[in-house]
Amino acid sequence: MSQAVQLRGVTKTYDLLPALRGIDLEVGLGDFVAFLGPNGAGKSTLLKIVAGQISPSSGRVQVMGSDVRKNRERVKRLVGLVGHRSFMYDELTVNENLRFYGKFFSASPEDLGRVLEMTDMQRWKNTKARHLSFGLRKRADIARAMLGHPKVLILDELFSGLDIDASELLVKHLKSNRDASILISSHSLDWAKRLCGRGIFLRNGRIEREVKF
Amino acid sequence: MGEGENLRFAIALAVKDLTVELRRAHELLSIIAFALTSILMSSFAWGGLFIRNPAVLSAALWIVIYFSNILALTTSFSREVDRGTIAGLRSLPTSPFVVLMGKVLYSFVVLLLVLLTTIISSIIFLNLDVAVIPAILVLFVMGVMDLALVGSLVSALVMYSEGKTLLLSFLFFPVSVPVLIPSTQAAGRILSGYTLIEVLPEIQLLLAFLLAIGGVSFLLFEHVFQE
Repeated sequence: MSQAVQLRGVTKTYDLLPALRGIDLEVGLGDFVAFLGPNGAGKSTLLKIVAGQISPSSGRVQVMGSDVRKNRERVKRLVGLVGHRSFMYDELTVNENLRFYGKFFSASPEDLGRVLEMTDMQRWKNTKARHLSFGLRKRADIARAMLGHPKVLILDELFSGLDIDASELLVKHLKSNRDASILISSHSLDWAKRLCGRGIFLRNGRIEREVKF
Repeated sequence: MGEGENLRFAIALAVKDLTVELRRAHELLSIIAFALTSILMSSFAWGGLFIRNPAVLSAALWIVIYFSNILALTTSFSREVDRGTIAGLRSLPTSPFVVLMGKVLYSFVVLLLVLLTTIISSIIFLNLDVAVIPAILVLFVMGVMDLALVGSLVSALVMYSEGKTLLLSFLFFPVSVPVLIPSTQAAGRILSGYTLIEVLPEIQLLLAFLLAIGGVSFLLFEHVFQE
């Protein structure tokens, strides 16, 4: 298997409004791909479909050879998702949040230690999520997404709201992990170039152009 | 995936919800306080009436349970949507029905706390006969299971609506009627001295409703849960 993600003729319509119009795309194993484009271009919708969060209106989506519609649970095991909004519970500490999500991915205590180390979050593991800064929360979310050894890591609006230092740190941490293919959406071409080897520009639900960085 | 694993996941979800709620104890405490003050006020106003007419006491107890459930349900799926954590639940590699079962378990535990508060305060302030407690508990636990399931389902149905709190209150009543009618009637009878065996038809009705709604949820909840 050479493709981590494969999309064929994918469309998505919300209340008759087309969000994606016939997307064909392949992402190789270990590839880092950035989806770029203006608001409403379809970046988040595309990533949510690959993550199995929403179903496409038509077309076929496969992650590591598994059809997203037919094998939704298997695909969710293969994908780590970091949304635009945090999935962490404010009242729980970072460790408690990781333990909660980890139960669903059969994560061991060693896995918790691994993701905390990978994202440099050990110092904050006993801090409640509500007390974390935006950048730390993003890192905690990435740690959560890495718990199940994902083959595809999806990071929606990765750099939005982050300062330069936090963005630098994220790029460093993500580049150190080459086990998963990474799909990000971003408004920042500069940061996308620093992390990814390939950029796909979307506009009005279509792929406008594709570039190698 | 085995049934054991599904049950483990549902328990993990319920424990997470309970931990979150216990750390924002004011909401859980306000539900308990509502139950307690309702019983106290009922005692002040209609104390004598309850002794003469057990059906009135039965209605009062179920009103407390019903409205406590509405209060508990506002923190169910709606809060997950408001905080953005619903996408986290949707990213879990498990059946959406398991997520619903987690929420049902959480509501059930909260309602059991309310039930205990209601029963204990009724013994103290409404002279509830201790001899009927075992039969009353069996009936109320059954009814509370029904309300927790129906309530969690309605909470999920309205979670993306703008006026979800208002909608929840309005939609929850009609779907609760098949639970409330047999429950209030059976509770009235038990308080009048009937045995549990004599209200078995009502309990069977509650069980049938639980199985029917459980079956419908199992088949349809995936579509409700999807964004």
